[in-house]
Amino acid sequence: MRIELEGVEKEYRSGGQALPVLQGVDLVVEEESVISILGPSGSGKTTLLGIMAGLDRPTRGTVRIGDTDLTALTEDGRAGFRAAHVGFVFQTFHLLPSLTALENVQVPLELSPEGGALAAREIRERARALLARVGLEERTHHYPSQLSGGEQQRVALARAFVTRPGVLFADEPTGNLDRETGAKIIALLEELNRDARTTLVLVTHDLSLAERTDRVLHIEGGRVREEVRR
Amino acid sequence: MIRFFATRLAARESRAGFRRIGVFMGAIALGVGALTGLHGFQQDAAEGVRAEARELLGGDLRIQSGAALSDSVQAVLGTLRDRGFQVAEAVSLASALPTSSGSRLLQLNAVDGAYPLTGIPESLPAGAWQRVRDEAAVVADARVLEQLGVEVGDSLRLGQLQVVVAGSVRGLPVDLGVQSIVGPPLFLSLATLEGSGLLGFGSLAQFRAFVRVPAALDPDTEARALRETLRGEGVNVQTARAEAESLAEGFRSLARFLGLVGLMALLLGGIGVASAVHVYVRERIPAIAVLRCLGARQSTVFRAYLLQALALGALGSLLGVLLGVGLQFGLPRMLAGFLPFDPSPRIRPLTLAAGLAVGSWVALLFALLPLLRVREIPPLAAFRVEVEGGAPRQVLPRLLAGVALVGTLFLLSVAQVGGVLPGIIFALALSGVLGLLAALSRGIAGATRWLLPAGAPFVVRQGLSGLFRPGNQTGAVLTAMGFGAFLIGSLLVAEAGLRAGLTLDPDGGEPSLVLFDVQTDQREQVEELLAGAGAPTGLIPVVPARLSAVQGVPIGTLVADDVVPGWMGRRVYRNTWRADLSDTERLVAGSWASSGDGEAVQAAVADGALRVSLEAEVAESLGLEVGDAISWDVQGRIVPAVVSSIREVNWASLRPNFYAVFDAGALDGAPTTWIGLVPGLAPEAVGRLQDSLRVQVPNVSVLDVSAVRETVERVSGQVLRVLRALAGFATAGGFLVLFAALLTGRFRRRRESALLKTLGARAPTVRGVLLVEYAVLGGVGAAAGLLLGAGGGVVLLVRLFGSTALVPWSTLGATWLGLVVLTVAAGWSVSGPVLREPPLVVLRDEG
Repeated sequence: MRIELEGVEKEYRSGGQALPVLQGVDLVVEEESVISILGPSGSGKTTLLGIMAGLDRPTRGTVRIGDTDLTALTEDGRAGFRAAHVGFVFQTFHLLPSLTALENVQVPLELSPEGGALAAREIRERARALLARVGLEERTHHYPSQLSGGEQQRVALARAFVTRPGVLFADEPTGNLDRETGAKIIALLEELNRDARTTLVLVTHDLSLAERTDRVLHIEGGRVREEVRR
Repeated sequence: MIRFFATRLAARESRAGFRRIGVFMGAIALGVGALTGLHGFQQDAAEGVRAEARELLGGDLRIQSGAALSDSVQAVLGTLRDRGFQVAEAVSLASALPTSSGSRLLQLNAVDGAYPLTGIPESLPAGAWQRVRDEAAVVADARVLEQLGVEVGDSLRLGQLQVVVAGSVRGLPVDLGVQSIVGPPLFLSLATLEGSGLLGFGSLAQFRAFVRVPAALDPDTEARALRETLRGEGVNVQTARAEAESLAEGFRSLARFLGLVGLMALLLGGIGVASAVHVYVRERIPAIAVLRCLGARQSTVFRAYLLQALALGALGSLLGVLLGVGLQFGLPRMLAGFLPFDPSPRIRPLTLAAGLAVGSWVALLFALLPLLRVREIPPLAAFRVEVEGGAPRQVLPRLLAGVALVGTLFLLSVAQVGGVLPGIIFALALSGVLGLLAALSRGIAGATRWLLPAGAPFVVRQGLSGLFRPGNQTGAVLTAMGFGAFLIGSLLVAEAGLRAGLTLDPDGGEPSLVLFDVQTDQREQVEELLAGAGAPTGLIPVVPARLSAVQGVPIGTLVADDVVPGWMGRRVYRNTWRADLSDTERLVAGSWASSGDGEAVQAAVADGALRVSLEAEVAESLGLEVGDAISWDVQGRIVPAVVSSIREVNWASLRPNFYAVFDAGALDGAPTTWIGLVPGLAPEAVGRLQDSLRVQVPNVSVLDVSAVRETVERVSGQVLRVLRALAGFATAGGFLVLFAALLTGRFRRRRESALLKTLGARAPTVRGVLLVEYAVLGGVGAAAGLLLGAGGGVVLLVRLFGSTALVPWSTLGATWLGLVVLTVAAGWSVSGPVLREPPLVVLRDEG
């Protein structure tokens, strides 16, 4: 799915004063492309990602994914849109601790309109197949606390792709992993992304990882200052 | 699938929540248990009383008088017999009977051959009941025989008679008034009582006739007719139905009062639920934010958590209902011997369903306020902690939940207290106590922090700062702890007050023995006996009299016009004369000595009236002031008198007190009996004196005051035991909340302790920090609760019971210490194990 940001600005209010976090962001991410967002801490990376994903509203400007104007939707409308078209991978994995690996993967399907048409058994089978795909067929009934960091992130990847989302947002997906495990996760992410033909937005500090994406955006002081096309 | 997502999510999430919130549900369970158990007990009691109404009264009607039934009353009874009514007569009086260890106050029931009209006496051995009618024999409940230390075939001294213990008996009507206080009676025949000489002039006997109305007639109509016929005879006519209703009302009041403690336990459970849900939601913020990122709507997530709260509330209430059934079946056992009937506990589905509904509703309401937070957690909270808060937006739902909560509290209070205004007052008082506790706890904790010198040891400073750690639930812990302590504190003060009223202090002039019914011709002999026993004391005269007229209006007219309560007009007053005011009295109007009399009194005295000092409440009920006229009927002789003074009397003292006191010698020559107060004697001297009195003046009743005290303490002990059991429910609830709140804070403490260790703190330092934190938490909560509870207890005693309050400081201090130790122990059991983990393990776990 194509992502389009037009004149996006975001301010937070602090002590009665407006604090600009994003300023004048115009951006188009083509369908099925892979982009990375680089920037120092506090530069507005996460805010940009949140606004692109419809997790938050911009103070000004519009955000469109595919044909849908996210800024025109209500909060629940955006939640419904995410359930149908958006996937997430987080730095700290964010698996639901009270759910098994299999149940964690099932959750987005159960929430999506597509899942609404499926029987419980089908949902389970699809989740199980994706867990097998990420190499965790033996760990389906383990809870997050019983898995290593790398395994947790693989469950998170399975969860992100189970609905075959149009867009996937990944926030520092290797930030909590050692170099070797991180490399394996990135390889898996690229493989799954290729197969699903998802538009991928990657927020990272890792320059080498960023260089493997189609485009790199640099963000500093709330402005997307540089765009390097490869 | 999406339709059931909330349900499935609730079920999955509960795996994490149940274990932790489960403890809090115990608190709801205790509250529901107390409420349903008491409600069930009250219904059992009311049903039991109604079912046994006739058996309890001893017939359909009872005619009762403080004096022997007059010839005209006997004539009326004869007419009733002629009309086919069954009539039985009985005389009952309290008397102190000798036992192996002193004497025991017992009720004697002397009955005629027609007695009983209800119930079938079952005696052991069979035929014992018949022997009572035929010879000088007695039977009693097996417990009474045991207390007296006698067996079948033994003989007992009853006044001047030696009687045989024929056996034990069950199934006879009970005397509610006396039996509740002194226990089941000893049965004998009217002839035996006559022969014992105990029924001498001035004895405190009640004369009764029981009437069984033919089935075709209505007892109420007959009672009305009898009251009319017997008007002016000084008798009271009571129906079984009215007696049962008044008794059932008494139990309703008791159950209502006890139910308030149950209500407090339920509210405590509610606070526990609110605190648990608050912490739970806080812990689930990342998970909730992730769900929102994955596309879950606000309402879906909120529903999932609401369902969990509902399930936990219902589960806790179900557990509570089961506890309540246990309490309902256990209460009659706790009150064994105190209840004059068998409450036969029975399960009532409606009561249980109501308990389940109330418990679930209260749990839901208390959970709702913190649960609304779920709707405010933005998906961005998954990315960064600082956005987790967000300003509260659910203003209207919060307002509605708050209104529902307050409304429920008021409704429950009104239902429990049984009146709108008292219910509202109770609810306000309860809210006030909770508010005060919260404020007091915060105040004391805050003061502790700010008053701490900057140079205090690290352990103390760090421990205290722990109280203000975000998410530490200090407020909930202090309120829960304080509320439990509040109940304990008020109970301790109430108990001390009740006990103080009964304390016999020989140095304070309380007697060891009281002698009743000493006849005028036995006076010298008794005084000699007392002097011989080393207790030389004068005897106090008692002149029985009825009211004849007040301000010249005949008492019958005043009663008929409802100016004076019937019982005041009918009763026999036991008056006295003496020269001095006793130290249990205080003059509030007029003059004790005639030299200080005003003109009105002087004029009346000049006209031949006797000076009389009235007790303040009697004077008020009769509408009399100093100088007013009152005349007495002393055994048929009318004695005019003038109110010369009005006294306040401390009735709690176990010494004989009097409504009317005449001038010394004023009633010389009137039919008089004498009372002896024997001051503090050694126990063996008491025994010897009792023996001599028994042999030489057998008609004299000797009351061992310690036996009375023991009896009163036994009865009040049973009530206190029930109160304690209920307070136990509430405090157990409080402790559960405390324990669970400590459990909740465990992980934060774990991390802090690991950090301290990493920074170089040694194990004793880390332990010391925790010790200070728990000790201050327990100390502040317990102090606030106990102090507030003691204050409440004092108000209760002074305002409600008009009793003097005594704060048992040493008991309160010991309780405070106990609660602190308990808190530290609970904290230690919760946090101790995690402290032994290496810091690296903890820090790695916690990220």
